[in-house]
Amino acid sequence: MFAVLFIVAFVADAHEWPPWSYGEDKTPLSIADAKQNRLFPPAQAVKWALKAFAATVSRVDGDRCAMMPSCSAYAIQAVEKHGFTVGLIMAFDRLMRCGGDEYRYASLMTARDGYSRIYDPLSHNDFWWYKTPDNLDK
Amino acid sequence: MHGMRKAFNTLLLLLALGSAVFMAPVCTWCDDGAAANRQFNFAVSLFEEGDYFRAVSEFKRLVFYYPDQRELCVEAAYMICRSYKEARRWDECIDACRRFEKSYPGSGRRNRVRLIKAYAEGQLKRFDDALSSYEHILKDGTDGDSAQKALYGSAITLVDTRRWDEARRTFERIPPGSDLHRSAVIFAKGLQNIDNVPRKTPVRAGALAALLPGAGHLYTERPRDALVAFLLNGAFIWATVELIEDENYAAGGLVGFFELGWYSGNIYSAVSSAHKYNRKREHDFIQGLKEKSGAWLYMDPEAKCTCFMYAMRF
Repeated sequence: MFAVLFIVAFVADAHEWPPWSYGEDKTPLSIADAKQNRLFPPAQAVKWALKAFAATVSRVDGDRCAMMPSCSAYAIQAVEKHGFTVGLIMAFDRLMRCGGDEYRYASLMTARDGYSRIYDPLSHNDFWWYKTPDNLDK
Repeated sequence: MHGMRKAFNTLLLLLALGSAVFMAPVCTWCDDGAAANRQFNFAVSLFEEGDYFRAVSEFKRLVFYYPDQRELCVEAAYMICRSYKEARRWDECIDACRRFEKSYPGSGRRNRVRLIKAYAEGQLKRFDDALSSYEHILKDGTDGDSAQKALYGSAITLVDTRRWDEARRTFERIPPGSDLHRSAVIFAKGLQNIDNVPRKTPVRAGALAALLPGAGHLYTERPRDALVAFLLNGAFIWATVELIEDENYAAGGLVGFFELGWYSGNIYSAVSSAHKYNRKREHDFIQGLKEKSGAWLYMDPEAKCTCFMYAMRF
């Protein structure tokens, strides 16, 4: 029994840890980090609402967003990163652009379901005012 | 007679044993050299196959087991840096380069390793570190080829950070005798035209979007987005006005709140579109220059003049 468990654990581990990433720190966020990431109540409410939308409506409606990450995931990221007001403005901006002319400025990526989507992460839309190394040209 | 023969045999045996004892280290050393060479060749074959992960392991094995084979160890450490670079493992690459500089500071490979390190830093967008690494090579001044590549690399890094004038001046510093001179001239001349790249003014885009939703998008050449912004804002403004005129203030306030979102999103989107337009134009222009000048080859530490010239487009 233990041998089987060991083999299963080993195989699972081998799958999770490809050779190059062996030894990399994959520990989840600590409690201190989680506390730091705690959002202002309105932003938290928006985040919960969007998560509820993704868990209910999106699940029934299907994954139909033309962009990657999807508009709801993008909105969650925007609220988490920039707070309630700017996060919401960025979410509205994204909803207006979804499936529009963005394909001329962004690259196409194949999602897990095999469909091509327009790659439009948050960093492509806040790079001009939110300067971090990650936000520089990609 | 018999006793003498026995003594002679014993002496012979002792001589054989003695020579075996004294020759053993020499033979071991010979074996070590051959084994280290075999190990190195095997690791190189893995590198050439593109199996960089295993190549790194085998080069490390060589360094660990044959530390006395100094020249091979230096080559192995250099190849470890190259393997990480080829595998695009930038953090590990920088660490390996630092270890190399620490372990073999006087090696002839040190400037090539610094070139690799600078390139990896550039890939991680640590442009200041990259510039400092290139500067380090230039200050060293012992390896002319690496120094010219460092000059070229720092110019490319300055381009990546949009410091056009500094980049142009750095390209102009590459001497005419250098393999990289022709490419640098193409780049320097091209950078003189960077101001002629068509651009959109973000402030104008935002102002137009504020005056008439969608106009900012039209200005930034996004007709579909312009139509969506115009229709959405129009519909929500109309709905808000109608609801308030019908004294349905709660619904009017709710729809008005959403309209505020569409309106501010429309302005943000127009400004962002102008920035994206400018970035795309600049990026295409620079990419065109890089392709025209064969700039991507400068980073191959083993690239030769003929190879470089062949790669350039005329």
